[in-house]
Amino acid sequence: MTAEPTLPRWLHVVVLGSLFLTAALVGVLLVHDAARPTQVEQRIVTELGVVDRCETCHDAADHPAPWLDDHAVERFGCTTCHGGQGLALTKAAAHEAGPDWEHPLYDASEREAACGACHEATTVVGAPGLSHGRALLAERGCAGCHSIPGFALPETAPQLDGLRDKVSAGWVHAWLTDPAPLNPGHKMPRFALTDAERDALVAFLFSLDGPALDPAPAAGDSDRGRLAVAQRRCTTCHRVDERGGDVGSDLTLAGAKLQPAWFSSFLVDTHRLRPATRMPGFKLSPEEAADIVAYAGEQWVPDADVPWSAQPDSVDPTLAATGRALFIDRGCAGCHRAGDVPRTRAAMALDDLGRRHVADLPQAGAAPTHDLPSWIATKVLVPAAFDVPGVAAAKMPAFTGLSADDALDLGIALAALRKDGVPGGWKVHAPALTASVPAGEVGALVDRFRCLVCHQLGGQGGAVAGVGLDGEGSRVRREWLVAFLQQPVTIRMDQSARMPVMGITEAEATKLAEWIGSSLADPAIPEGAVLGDPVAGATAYAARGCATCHVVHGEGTMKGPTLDGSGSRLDPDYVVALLAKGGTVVPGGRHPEGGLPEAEARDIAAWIASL
Amino acid sequence: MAEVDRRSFLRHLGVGAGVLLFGESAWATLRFAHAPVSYGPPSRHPLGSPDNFPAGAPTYADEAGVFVLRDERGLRALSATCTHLGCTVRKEGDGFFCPCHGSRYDSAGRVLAGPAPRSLRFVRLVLDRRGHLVVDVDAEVDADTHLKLG
Amino acid sequence: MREFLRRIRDSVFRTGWPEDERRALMAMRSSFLLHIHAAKVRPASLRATATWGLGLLSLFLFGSLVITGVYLMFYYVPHPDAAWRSMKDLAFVVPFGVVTRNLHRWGAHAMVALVLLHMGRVFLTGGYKAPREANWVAGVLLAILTLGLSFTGYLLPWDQLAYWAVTVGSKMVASVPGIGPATALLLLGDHTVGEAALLRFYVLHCVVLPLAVAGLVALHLYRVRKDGGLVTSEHAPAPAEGPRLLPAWPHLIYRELALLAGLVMALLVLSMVLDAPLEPQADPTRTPNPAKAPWYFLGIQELAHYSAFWGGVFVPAATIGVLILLPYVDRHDQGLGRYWPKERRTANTVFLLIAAFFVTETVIGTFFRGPAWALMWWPG
Repeated sequence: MTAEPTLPRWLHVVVLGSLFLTAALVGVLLVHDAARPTQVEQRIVTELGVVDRCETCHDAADHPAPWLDDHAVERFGCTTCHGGQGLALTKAAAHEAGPDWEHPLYDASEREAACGACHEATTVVGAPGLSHGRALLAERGCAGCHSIPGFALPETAPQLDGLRDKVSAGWVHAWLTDPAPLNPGHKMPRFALTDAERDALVAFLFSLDGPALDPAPAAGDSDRGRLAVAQRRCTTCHRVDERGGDVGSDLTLAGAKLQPAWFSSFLVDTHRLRPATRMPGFKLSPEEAADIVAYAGEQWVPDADVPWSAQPDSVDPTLAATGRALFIDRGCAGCHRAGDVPRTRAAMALDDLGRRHVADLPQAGAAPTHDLPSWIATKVLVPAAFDVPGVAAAKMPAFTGLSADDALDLGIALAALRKDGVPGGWKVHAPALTASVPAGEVGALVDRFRCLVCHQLGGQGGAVAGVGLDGEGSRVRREWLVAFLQQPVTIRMDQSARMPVMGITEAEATKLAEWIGSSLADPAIPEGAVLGDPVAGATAYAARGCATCHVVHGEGTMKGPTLDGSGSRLDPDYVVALLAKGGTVVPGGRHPEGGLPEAEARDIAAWIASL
Repeated sequence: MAEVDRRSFLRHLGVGAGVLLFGESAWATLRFAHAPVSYGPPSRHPLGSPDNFPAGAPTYADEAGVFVLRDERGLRALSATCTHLGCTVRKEGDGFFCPCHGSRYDSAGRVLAGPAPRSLRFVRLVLDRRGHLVVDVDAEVDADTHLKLG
Repeated sequence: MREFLRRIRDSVFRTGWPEDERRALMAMRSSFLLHIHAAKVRPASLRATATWGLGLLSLFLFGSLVITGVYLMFYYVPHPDAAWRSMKDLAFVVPFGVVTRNLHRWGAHAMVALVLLHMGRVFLTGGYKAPREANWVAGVLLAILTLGLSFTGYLLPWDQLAYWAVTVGSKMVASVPGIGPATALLLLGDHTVGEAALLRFYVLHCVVLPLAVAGLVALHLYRVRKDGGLVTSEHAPAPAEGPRLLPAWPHLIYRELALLAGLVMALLVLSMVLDAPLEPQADPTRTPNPAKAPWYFLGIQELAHYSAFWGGVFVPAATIGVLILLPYVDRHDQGLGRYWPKERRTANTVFLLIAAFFVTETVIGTFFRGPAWALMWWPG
């Protein structure tokens, strides 16, 4: 038979070569595998969807205190607060972003935003950026345009009914163009409006009727007006020439801005013209009002000529309908009440903003940001930077007076918003109010005098006054309080805010003092304290160096409240408790924390009671 | 002759490489199948403050399934899993009793009667950073190992 | 002892290692694995250019995919909440998990490519003509099943690519008039891609389709034998020297072994060097823009862009219909076994044009389509 061909050599090479190479490669794999860590540490928290293998490399014991004391790793895992890819076992995959994992480890701002996913209170201990951001959200009225969980429609913007009686059309035009020069402490953002749009808005606003005004006042006395302003302490809330508070509007130009008839009607009965204002319900006499108007007309005017004046300009009433539509479309109705316009929001809801991926969002070309808080900050600072082609130009106005840090804090607060993000058992709700305003007559008084605009009570209220009302009932004597409410005096020299003189009558003051004394007592202060020896007390007072902060008979410093007249002002039980137990008796106060021996406390209290 | 030898040599070489490959693959398969992926209940359980476990009788820690014993030398954790077929034993008199097949143990977990093949296991107790007890039910220790306190 | 072991060995390997031709022929006939081969083969069919080993490579790849697939099944969990996480476990925690997954993924891509190339080779050499019509149809069905295996497997990682690719694909199915929506509902088990779809695709991918493929492959190989072996050119001269037929052992078997060893090595090298991609976990609220189908469906997606029905449904269906009917329509029987005989120039040209058309559409869809499926210059 013919010779059979042998197998070609290359076949043998392929077969043997492949076999050996494959065996070698598998061998490499085996060796590589032997070098991997065999022990994998896992934290699994099913409800949070967490599978964290971080502890394979990191030791939880090395974590800086005190975070893990309240946030045990067993309950929270690691990635809940730190981000990153918990499932990974290599450093690069765990810490950095990749094609299959979009979020690297959180930076500081994203970490704080993660706090906010569970902690709902405005102020969160340990998260200063988040807390500040939430305060800014309330202060700047973001919820007027955007639906934000936990924030209602703001009530700080003025009601606009009867605007034509109050200011001129020229002034409104100037205000809508740029509020900053007219009211440096303002909260209103700057909208990009065309002249036609401004005309329409003015036409609409001037078409709204307001309450009838009182007849124009007779000319008042400017000097008496100056005295009245000083005595009433208007600058506690209002700024004039860069001095004063931020609660109300800047009055530097009020003499030229406000029409005199409106101004005096307003002072005669604040809440009749503006029921929802934060200003207390002053009821000045027409003469006093006329004096203040005269003073304003003389002093609170611009130095140079301004385009607007107090005289009304002509307004085209046919534009009112357009203006009303614009008023709603641009978001004015979210902050301002005006006629029958419903309070609606004009911008997108933000309640799930925290889940947005930066990769999906438009970027401002020059410096793209990778984390959500920074992106939000950029958007807040320069809203027009993100016009998306094909989409209508951004309606968002510009917010002046925001620093880069403020914007980042806002970004943190907003990046914390996640709908259904965290199961209920993990949420830390805002603390419930511990005290509230009663209904009835006292409630009406508290509302009329707007106590909570300046004072804190039970977890709500403003921070203009350094003193909160909680526990105040146990600290001061009732008779003194009644007198104080009628005529507030200065107790704390180092505070710039002074309680305005609102004309509270004796009857009203008595009702308020009764309520404060009973409902706002501090149960932790025991009653019936026995006072000691005032002479020893005086010596102890000197020895303890209380004059470091207190003034008595002209000696000492004004860091703390003056102690002159304490005999009629302070409740002795309170003084004993404060001295014996220390500053914790007044939460948020600045009294030293350590307490004194009981006997010494009684002696000093006795001496103070004699002042 | 040389031809046949070479062919036979090559064949043996090839078969050898194949066997090597097969062995490596078998080993890799075994390693593959023993991955430490576990989504079951954790082996470490927190037990709270040591004060929860007074001296005297053993105290049962429900979630971990262990009895915590305290004596003058410290604390120990005794697994409540019967060594016969895994039922949970209960306290009876000084010792423990398994209701499934009647195994009896003394106060130190040693078998007194019944089908249990060995004594109850002691498992490791440690203190966490807050001074609370943590038991690892998968880590066996010997009967003399105590967690010293104070 | 040695006698004992020898007895065990001889009970399994009855004829022993074939030392001569007679034993070789006996071994071929009595071995379970080998008897699918003819005992003797024509030398022309041993040439590499006869088939390029494409069919055999497809078969080996199928075997590799089954093996690696079973390995992966030890850790993969077919539920939306756990699927992607189990992929991560394979990537990080399981020893050799990365390599196993890579072998499976690259093997799958290779199998689709090789199956299509095999179909092309068979067409160009006229291997669909009588008496091989039924085998050709079985092959077309196998190609469809291969694409089905790829499609069902694609969903399993439950990443963005998987989720949206299957969403796009199911919409294309649903666009078929009449039976479309019902078919899509049957595939997905629900109106959207979700838990039911994942479980169904898993069962299809791991049980139904592999069994179907295995059955058809058995039929396919059987018919290769029964229809007369490989198509080799009738016009090729008989070898000037050497026997007219060669024993399959070792000439064919050894070549097949070389093919297998080479494939395993190449696949392993590729799997150790290149990682199979994974995208972020599936998120029904975020559609990637654009959402692209796997590469073997991109041509159809590109066509579907012009018209969902005509491009996305009619053209592929018509192509399959033509392929299946082809052997019954084309009755010429000249030029078999050669790639470019003048008798079959028209047929082969038409085939290559159609293939080029699909390749072009695929290339456009892959590289030249960006967000909103707008044309862009690569890389855009």
